Amino acid sequence: MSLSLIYNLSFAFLTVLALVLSVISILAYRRSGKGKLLLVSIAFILFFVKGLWLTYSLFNIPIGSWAPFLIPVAILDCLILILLYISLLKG
Amino acid sequence: MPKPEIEVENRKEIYELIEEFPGLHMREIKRRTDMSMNLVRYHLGQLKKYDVVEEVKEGEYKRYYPKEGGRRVDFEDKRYLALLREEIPLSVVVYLLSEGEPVSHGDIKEELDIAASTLSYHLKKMRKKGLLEKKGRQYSLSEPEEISNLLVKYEPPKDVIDEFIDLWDSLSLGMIF
Repeated sequence: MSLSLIYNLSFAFLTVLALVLSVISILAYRRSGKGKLLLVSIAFILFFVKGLWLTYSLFNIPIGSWAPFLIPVAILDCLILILLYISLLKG
Repeated sequence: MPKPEIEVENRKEIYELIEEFPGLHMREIKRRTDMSMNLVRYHLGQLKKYDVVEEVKEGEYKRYYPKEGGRRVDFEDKRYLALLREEIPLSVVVYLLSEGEPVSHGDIKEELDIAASTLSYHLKKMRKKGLLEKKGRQYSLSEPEEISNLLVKYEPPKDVIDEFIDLWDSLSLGMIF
């Protein structure tokens, strides 16, 4: 299996998974009205945005020149972790 | 036709589901067991034939109850359980139990965020079955304690959204806010 195919499959899986989790968490927030689930929903939406961003990078940027495109990914990862952490602390 | 042992396994799975959640209807059983509708229909037919499961027609649904064992459902319970297996009536009951006092149509509509006509339809149905009482413009549960016990005794089946909410609740540390 070639490296680019592994990239394609991984990012496609990540993006679809993020979309599914976003939908489930939004429905859960709408049903329960709990603030922590709003934070979880935002985290999963950002996760989905990250998946889209990686997919865009994959098709438009040569693999060797990825470094600048990874900065937004790092920022999104940081935001996702902060949101999930706060949602866990929220009672 | 599946092998006999698989057939027994499938039937056992359906029976255990009905035993755990009395009052499920056929489509819900199909969804939860991931079997084809024809297979579910066939096994339900067999379970009825051997008198271990009872079929009760409730409006547009046929609901299934165990006929024997510790989970046998009383006639009175069945009348309410059928309604408590529906999403909107169940939400109305949970809301009324949490409020603990009579509430108006408008209050319930606001809480459940559903169309007034849909809510009116369900409230009328619930009154007809004796689950609700209406005094003036206020609605209340006819037997709150009994209905509350029923909800504990026959826990409503959970879907993926409920499981997600439960999971996040169990993970929460509740340390801030």
